[in-house]
Amino acid sequence: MEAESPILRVENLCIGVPRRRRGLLSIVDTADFQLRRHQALGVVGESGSGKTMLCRALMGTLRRHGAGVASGRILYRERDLAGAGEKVWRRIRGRRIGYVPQSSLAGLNPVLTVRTQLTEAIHAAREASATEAEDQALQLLELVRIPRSGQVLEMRSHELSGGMRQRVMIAAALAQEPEILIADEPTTALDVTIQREILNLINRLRERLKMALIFVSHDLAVIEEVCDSVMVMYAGASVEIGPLEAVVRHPRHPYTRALLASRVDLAVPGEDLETIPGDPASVGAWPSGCRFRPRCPLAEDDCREGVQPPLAPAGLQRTACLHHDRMGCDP
Amino acid sequence: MSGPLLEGRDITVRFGRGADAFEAVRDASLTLHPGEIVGVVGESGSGKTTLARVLVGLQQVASGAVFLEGQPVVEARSRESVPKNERWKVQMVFQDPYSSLNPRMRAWSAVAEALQVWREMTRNQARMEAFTLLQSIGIDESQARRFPKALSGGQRQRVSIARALAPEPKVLIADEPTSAIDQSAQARLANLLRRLRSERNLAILFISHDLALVRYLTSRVHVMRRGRIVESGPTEAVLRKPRHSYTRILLDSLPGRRGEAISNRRGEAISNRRQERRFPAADGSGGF
Repeated sequence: MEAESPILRVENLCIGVPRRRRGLLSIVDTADFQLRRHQALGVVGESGSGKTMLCRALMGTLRRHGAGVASGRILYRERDLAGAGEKVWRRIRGRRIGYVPQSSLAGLNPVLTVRTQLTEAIHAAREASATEAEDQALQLLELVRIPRSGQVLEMRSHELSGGMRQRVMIAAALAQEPEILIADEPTTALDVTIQREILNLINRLRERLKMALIFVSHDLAVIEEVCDSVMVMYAGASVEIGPLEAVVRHPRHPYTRALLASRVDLAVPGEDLETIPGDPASVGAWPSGCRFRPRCPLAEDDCREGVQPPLAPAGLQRTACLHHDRMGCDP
Repeated sequence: MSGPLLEGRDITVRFGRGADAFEAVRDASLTLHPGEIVGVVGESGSGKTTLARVLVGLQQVASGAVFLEGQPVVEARSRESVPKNERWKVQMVFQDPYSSLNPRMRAWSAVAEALQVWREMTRNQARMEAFTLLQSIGIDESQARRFPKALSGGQRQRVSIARALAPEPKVLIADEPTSAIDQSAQARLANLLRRLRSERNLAILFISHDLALVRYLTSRVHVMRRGRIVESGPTEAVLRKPRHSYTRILLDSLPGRRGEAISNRRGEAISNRRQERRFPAADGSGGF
């Protein structure tokens, strides 16, 4: 079978915020990955690593947040969206690329009923009569397994529990049958039992609707539940990307390895957890060369030269580490 | 063996009156001995935070009592909270490191303030001691001079802990101290709590929804649901062989490989699930 061409390719994407006097402040530099149909890519990184800004770039909402694409390309079906205007984005956002925000009250309009918000999304996608739209809204609620959907349709967001609210937001994102679903920390604020239900739901929907998924989380354990590949971000850059199993079992970047080693779920009680020395490089204060260098046990002189190293093939994955060949294979 | 350092006995907390009354905590009992970390796990609304607030004297009880070194400090119908000269013994670290520090005080001065209040130090002494205390938990001098907004979540949480440690308390009540911070900061905080326990013989009540962290940190655990403690016991035993169905549900809900480390039964369930999931054909070349 011929290898399928990716539906989304992000090439050397740099995102910046204009600064008074001193040009652009880089916040993502550089993100680099591709997404094939049906693929589920996890994006993991700590706060300030640029995960959320990357999502905004893929939704075309950077400008609303005072940022913009500085360079690089966002190729959706071979069409570059990096410099696209609002007119183009309006046809992509929601319709082709759906978005599920972090679970919070802010994700839904507090004064509108679930019915209004779902039917609005349905009307945005296609011509539909009021009854058709309402039927579809009910179907969507059933698709995300909301019981008593008829009653829920009349509710407003404050009347819903956290888990229900998140289901409604997923339903709204699915209304236009997007090809790619971007979920930005969709379970972070939820209880573990609710998180489990939402993760199961996302898995089932992906299977059924054949969507590609970009799932952003700071929690590798959650990503393991829904993704088949993973991209690790550090200080605005993609530092490692590859099949999930390969990255988790044989990390090829010291930052990935450190993240895995500090996981409390795999730790032995009574032994100290491994921690990463120093503090994350903050935006505007990235070091020269490899950004992880000041905290890296493998760092050498050549790591401080030039800019953040680009991703290069290593094993089944790609890594930005110049010295990955010196890494032991176990996390 | 001497009695517990801190004991909550049959604590019930009721909000509202009459027919609308809601029992946030019902008949909860727990003990805390010097040098031990005890966990309380449960989901939102289970009453963990209310119970914590009772133990530090921030919340009145409808019935039951709290004993500190054998003396009752919180009782039903008493208007008085913990006596002033006992309050230093039990300190609390809150969940949200963003709202628990004064945004207009530099890290060191937030700690120095607590030192002045609790240890009756002079301004200068307190200042020096604040830097030393912060240093000992991994906040260096330049970070100590910053305002909270210029610190990361993990750093802020460590400053809150330094502030709570100022009176050299015997008990630290940590209410979800790690839930708002990044994973690597979480690991550092977990190491810190373990160190404080062994170096200062501190008793720590660790409240969390994260079973993996609780398993790693605590020797005994209480599982709360809807205001009641539904299961208690040594952490390993409770997590390996949960007796209450709710504990089992919590364990089964853990994402990723978290559960595998805890029980093998759970490990099998996960690897089965993983095999069921379709992986896209790895074509090697084009993928990554």
